[in-house]
Amino acid sequence: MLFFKFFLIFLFSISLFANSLAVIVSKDSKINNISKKELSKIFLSKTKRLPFGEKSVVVESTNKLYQSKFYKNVCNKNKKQLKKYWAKMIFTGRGQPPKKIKTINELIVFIKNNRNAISYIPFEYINDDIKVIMEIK
Amino acid sequence: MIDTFLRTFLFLSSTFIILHAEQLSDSFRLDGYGNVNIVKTENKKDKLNFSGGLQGRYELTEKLSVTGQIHLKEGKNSQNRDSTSLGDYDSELKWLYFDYYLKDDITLRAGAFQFPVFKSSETGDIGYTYTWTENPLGYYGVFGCDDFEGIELLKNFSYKDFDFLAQLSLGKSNNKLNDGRGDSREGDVDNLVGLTLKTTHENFIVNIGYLQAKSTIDTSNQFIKIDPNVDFNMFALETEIYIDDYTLKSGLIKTNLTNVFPEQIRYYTSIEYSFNDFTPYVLYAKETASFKEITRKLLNDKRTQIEKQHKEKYSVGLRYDYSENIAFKVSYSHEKDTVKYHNFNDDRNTNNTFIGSINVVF
Repeated sequence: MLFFKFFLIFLFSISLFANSLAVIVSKDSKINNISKKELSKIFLSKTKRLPFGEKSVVVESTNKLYQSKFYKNVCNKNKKQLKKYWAKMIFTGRGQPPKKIKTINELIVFIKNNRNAISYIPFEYINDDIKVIMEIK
Repeated sequence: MIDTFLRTFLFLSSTFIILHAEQLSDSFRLDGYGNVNIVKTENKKDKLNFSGGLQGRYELTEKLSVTGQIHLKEGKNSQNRDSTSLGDYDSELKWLYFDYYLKDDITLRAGAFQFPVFKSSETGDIGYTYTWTENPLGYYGVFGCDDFEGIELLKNFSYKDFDFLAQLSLGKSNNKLNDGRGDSREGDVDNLVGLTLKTTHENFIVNIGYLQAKSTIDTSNQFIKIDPNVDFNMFALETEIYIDDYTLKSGLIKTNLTNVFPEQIRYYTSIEYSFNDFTPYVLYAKETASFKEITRKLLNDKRTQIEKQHKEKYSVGLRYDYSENIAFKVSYSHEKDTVKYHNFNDDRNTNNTFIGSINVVF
């Protein structure tokens, strides 16, 4: 019975993390946490600074599912609203969307090696090379 | 018919082929847009319009980048009539400028730009960026003048929950100025100063713009003497308010030019309702031009002297966002043009127009 309970908790934990995204920075970054508003401004190119004043390097995975969840939750924008937003920003030269990196492993390596970089990845990919500053459920 | 099919096919296939062409390398980014409009107006021949453009941005260094945008539109044939032939397409360099980040929230730009003072003027050619089938006002510039060369300074800042973008523009332009009666006058526009403040909050956007300039127009071939110097200023206030799934958009633009040019007040308001991928809307727009004594004197025949002209537009429409890159739109508009002459009003000019559009960005 005890084994069954642990098994259920284990399954629940996996599903919980599978649905969560982690906002990540390099281990060398001064940032330990961040608000949704700050995060939204950084990812919508409304500011080019991180909370401690460093120039931000914003990157994200090409995975549309992760993007959808992140922008809906953090910026309150669905895919189509986001495309309209970026069309306006790009064609007026006021901002550029985050640079895209194909695989999560490449993204983690990029974050690890760039002190001012910020991104988000599924929770299950978290390892000791990077720091989690927010969880998005 | 074959020509129309061929043009449609070429336009859509080329668009789809590069639909996902975005960030081509770490330093270079390519974006584009396209519009197809079918316009059916009472008592006029149906029109099928295509336009589109490409924008490239190259980061030269971490602080310096160069951006260029080319706009393609239907041109004129050898008889100077609107042409639908592929060979008559005009290309126009809309933007070409260098961006230099002085500080992270201050950008200095130098080059060729669109007038910044209106909320939508900079993206007026990109149908995907707005809900309507066409911009609510006949045009967004100042009497036909809508671009300039010079410098711009942009500053982003925040206060509490408000985000601001302040933009200072300085430069000159060598457009033709339209005198409001359909005639253009050659003239250089100098000493152009524009100031724009855009305020963004969770539930609204307010855009305030002011622009002033001086111009010298060609006054040769006039039978009465007129001053070639023209001063112009313009004020624009535009808002977007979001209440649940409703969006209320309004704009008021007042243009004042001395000399032979009329004073102009333009106004629009629209309500949109978003559900799933559909956005139906209603729109009302009005443009009033008040002609001056000097303009009336240019016309010998008193019966043809225009004092005021009102253009009103009532429109209902629907936008459907088919995907992240493609939007379909339809609208039906009733337009009424009233001209007040010296001693009578002519309100016989009315028009009903149906527009169907496909707008893409890639």
